[in-house]
Amino acid sequence: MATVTLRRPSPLRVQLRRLWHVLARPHVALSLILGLVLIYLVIVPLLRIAWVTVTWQAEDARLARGFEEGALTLFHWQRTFFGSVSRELVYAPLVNTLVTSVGATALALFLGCGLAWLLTRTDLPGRRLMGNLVTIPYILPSWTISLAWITCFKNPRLGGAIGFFQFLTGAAPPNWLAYGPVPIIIALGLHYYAFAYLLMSGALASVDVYLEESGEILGANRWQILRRITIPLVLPALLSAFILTFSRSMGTFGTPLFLGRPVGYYTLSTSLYSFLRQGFRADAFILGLVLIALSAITIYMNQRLIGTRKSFVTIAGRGLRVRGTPLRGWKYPLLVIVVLFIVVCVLGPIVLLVWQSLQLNDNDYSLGNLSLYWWTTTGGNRLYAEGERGLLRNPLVWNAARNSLALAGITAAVVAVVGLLLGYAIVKGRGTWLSKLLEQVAFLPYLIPSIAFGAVYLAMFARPLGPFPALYGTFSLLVLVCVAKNLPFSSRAGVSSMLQVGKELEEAAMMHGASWFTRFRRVIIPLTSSGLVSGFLLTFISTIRELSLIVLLVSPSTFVLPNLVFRYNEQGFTQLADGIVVVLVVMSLAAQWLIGRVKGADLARGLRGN
Amino acid sequence: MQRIELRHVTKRFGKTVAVDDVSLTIEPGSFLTILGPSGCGKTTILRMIAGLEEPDAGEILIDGRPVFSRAESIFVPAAERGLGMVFQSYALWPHMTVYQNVAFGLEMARMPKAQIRQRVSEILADLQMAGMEDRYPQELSGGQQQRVALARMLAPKPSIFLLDEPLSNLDARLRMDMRSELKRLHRDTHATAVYVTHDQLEALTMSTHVAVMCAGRLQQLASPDEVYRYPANLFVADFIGSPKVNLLEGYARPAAGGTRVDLGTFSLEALPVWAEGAVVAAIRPEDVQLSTEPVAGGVEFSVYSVLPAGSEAIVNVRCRETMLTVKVGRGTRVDMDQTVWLIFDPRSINLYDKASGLLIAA
Repeated sequence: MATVTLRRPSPLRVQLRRLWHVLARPHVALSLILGLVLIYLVIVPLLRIAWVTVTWQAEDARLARGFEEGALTLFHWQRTFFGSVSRELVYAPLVNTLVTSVGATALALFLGCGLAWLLTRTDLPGRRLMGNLVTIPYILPSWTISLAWITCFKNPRLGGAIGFFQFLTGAAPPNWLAYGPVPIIIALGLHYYAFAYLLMSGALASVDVYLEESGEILGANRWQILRRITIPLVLPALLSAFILTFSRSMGTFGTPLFLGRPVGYYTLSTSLYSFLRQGFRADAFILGLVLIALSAITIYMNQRLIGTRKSFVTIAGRGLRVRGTPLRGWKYPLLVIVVLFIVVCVLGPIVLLVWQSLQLNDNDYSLGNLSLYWWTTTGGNRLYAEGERGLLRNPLVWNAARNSLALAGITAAVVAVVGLLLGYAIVKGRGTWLSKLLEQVAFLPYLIPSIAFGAVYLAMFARPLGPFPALYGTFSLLVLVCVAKNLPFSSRAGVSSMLQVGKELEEAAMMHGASWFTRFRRVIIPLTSSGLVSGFLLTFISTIRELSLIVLLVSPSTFVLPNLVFRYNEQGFTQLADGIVVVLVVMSLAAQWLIGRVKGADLARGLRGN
Repeated sequence: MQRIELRHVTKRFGKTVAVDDVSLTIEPGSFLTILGPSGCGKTTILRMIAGLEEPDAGEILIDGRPVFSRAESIFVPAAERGLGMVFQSYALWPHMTVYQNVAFGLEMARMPKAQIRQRVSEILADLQMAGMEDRYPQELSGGQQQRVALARMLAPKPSIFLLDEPLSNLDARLRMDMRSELKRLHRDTHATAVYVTHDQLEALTMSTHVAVMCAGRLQQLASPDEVYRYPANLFVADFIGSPKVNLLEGYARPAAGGTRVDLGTFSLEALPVWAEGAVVAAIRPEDVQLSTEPVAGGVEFSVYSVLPAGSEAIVNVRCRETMLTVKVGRGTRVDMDQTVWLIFDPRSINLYDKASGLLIAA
């Protein structure tokens, strides 16, 4: 039957042709390019940071004998974990980190789950409006609440003006309430609950009422339905919420800095920062690796626990109905509690910050003290902030605002495009090792807490590497680090957009002879445009408030708004710091409003990192 | 009119073998249906012919020209194979109008604008879709979307049609209409058509040839009539025909007047096939005569259930452990638990070797 009439070319030519044929397929070529870029942006920096910790650094010369710059040594690891100062170096910050993250996660999950249930599955009045309001913290910088907290509970320990609390009651708040673990836990919890809320309300809203009604028909009561049907169904989302809040609290920098450092309460992220400031790079990087390890362990546990249950979240079918549990007598008491929560914990901090930015004298809450001085002064008055100009007339602020917008805009645009390309390469190559590699490497930044990621980039780009110049202090480095840190979300978003488009739509164009570029331009981009736009805005929001990631990498000329908040806060120019936070809040709210205009955009989309 | 040849084509996805050493020739101008249960590799074959999937081994030739050859590392891209395809989901671009969808292939071929306009309106008129140019696919009914998908395939005048379960998303009535239209279209365009379906009625009514697939292997390639009357093996026999064929295990030995098959509860006499040993007898429900009165040579059964279907009725009958399905005309009325007598026509029974599952030829 098989009468091969064709002349056989030489084996080498056949091999070459085969290789060319494989490489010439667009998604293979794309995967290879992206793979190399990812390895350079993610794997190489990680190796570099590990390398620094096991070699002698210049700054070790006065600390130890046997110093030989660049040679291999376990000195840093020994000193950090077993030396005489190891308690201060690593164990105390580790314990503090665990205490604050566990506390913050518990608070966040309690608030997030409770609100999600009340606002999606009950007959509480005004659920829609309240549902929008409680997500506000999600779009704010994570340290907004910590600044508001200081404004409120500042005590005389630090000197300067008194806080709102003391202004009202006359008594100075105790230290434990003003600084340290308690306020850190509360401030983080009041921020990260919004993440838990978004994930849980999505999951709860997708539990089909028929599943619950089937249980009811079989004789289960309310509680049994909740325990045996609803909770198991939303368990994967609950675990995702846990991992997300826990790993973010662990790597967060601003809040423990503002609320912990004044009393010498350091977490891993803040001690990493101060080690770097003091020039102990290797010690700082070891802390970074500890953070990465902690985060990796949590995520690994999460994967083990969720396992196959992951798929439950997506079972939402057509004709979904969601039933509101009647609250009966509890309705109005609960309504009052939720409204109070929104007023005090969500809107309160923002109002307080706006108010303070309008006070001529710090923390004088009388009406006569209200003034636009800090916004509009041309400076020169040595009595106020050493003559610093007002926010709207300050070239420093305008420059930082320009940098912030440029950083967020450029990052978001690059991330949207790279995410789509990654999604394309991963989906088209499904089942091949290259596709798996891309997916895994793109996910890696998720494991690395922001501050550690910044440290990694510091290690990598402080010196020239291969064809690349030293990028330290440049704006491109900030863009690079923000793009890399956003890869996990953008690649997931890209994969899900590509899966939605499906392969047949592209193949139909292929059958008609459309080139890869034409297919992208005429089929894929138009069909994924709403995902692209919402992805752009989500990255924009998360980048404009970014501090932990870039705090180690900025130079005065590349200062962004969060840096300025940080700096004014250190100098004690409270009103200026708070004023910039207000500007950031306005910018974030504007971007979120824009997201609402985009069809099919989903605030929670950027959350589903795993 | 072009001949398509597959030679020892194999395709794996990871560890699963989707298509296993399939060789088949599709004659110019024929309408070949690839029929099989889901997951049998039929769509993969179609996609390999299209150039959307690359085989792991073998060769594919279109009109004598290799478009794929593993040994020589030849792979001709889909667009250069001169074929058109309708996808199962239609794959109409939702962001383009009907006109833009249909014109796409012509634009890719760099046809002048005026000609494109003429060709599109011509083809839409042929498919009774004139006036729908500015609609978007979502605004069309399922049947209309189907026509747009067809128009888009036909516009560049391909000489080979590849159709991947194109009717599976339509309701039963529309499917009937579209079947006859597709058949007409095939005749008028003189194209070679490859049609994938899991619906045996579609395969039998539309094609000139049927290729039955199972688990990646080609089971039988023949005319619809032959596939129906002489299924090559037990899988094909079981798969083709609705209601399903009755398969009865028994023991065959030569006897006076033909082969006798002992089925335990009763036996079949005088089969015009030579067989000896363990066999499976395949009896189509419509080849059994049912009588409500005792008749000579009739085997006594009791009625288990009756499923009337308008023009006919499906009757399940039982004789001890043996259950049989019989199709009866409108004239015969039976009730559950009634005693009936069955007469078997020895010429319509196929015997299969029990061990190999292959048809024992007459």
